[in-house]
Amino acid sequence: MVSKNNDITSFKSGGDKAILQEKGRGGRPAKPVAEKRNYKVVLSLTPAEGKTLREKAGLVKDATYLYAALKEAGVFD
Amino acid sequence: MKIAVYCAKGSAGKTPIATNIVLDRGYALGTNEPFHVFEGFIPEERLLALKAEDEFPDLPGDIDIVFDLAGSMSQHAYSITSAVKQADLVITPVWNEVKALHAAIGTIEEVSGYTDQILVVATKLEKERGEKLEGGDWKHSAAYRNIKAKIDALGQDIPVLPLKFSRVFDLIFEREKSIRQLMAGDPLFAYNFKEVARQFDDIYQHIDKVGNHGQ
Repeated sequence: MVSKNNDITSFKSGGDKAILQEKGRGGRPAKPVAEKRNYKVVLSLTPAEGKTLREKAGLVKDATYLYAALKEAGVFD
Repeated sequence: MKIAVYCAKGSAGKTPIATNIVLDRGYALGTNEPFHVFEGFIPEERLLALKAEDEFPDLPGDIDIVFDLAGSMSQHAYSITSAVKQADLVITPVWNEVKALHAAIGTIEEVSGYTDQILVVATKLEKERGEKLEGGDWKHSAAYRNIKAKIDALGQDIPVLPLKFSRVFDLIFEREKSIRQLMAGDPLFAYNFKEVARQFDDIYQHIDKVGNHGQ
């Protein structure tokens, strides 16, 4: 029963992960190193705290909400 | 309809279940497996393969996709959390073995933080020596009953559907066809796999029930 296209090409970001990856595929240029957000923080919460966070984050991802809150609080200044 | 097939323990049957749905229904497939089998098997426009630490994009409601998720959920497995968060249904396969059951319960506890639409599929069911199934119903098998008892003990009213052990789950990759597609092409397959096909139809029935309630 194939009733839809389900073409997700437009949702792919950097190309598929396969054992052999095609080089030189073009696309959006890489971010400068100073702008790459690759320092990851693990934050453990209680179930109640997690629930509160998810409610406050709403449609936005938890990490996105927290990052915005930290910026607003001037943590990175 | 977005379905996440996820269990923290490997070899539970996630990929065969996900693949059969994709082949039967033309869904897209998302995977975070580093060495997946889907290249050239699933059309490129319907395949989204990421690393475990990457996030699946939030897909619109008119996209049907199955996420075949390897690994365990943690703060770093963004692929798993991003898929589970947008899934209409999480299917957790589990087989009747101590470590597998333990991992499945842990998985359900993790996933329950994101959704209550969970379906457990009791996989690789086999009869014990001398066991006879009442009415031929695999829900009477000792293996199924043990899995169901463990899941029921969580007190979350999670449905459990049986899926017997079958060589067809290797064949769907060898022949790149779903169970029903294999059966349509070969009368011997049609005879040998009718029970497991019927069990998979029950899974589809549950998927459709969840999908209809979500509309």
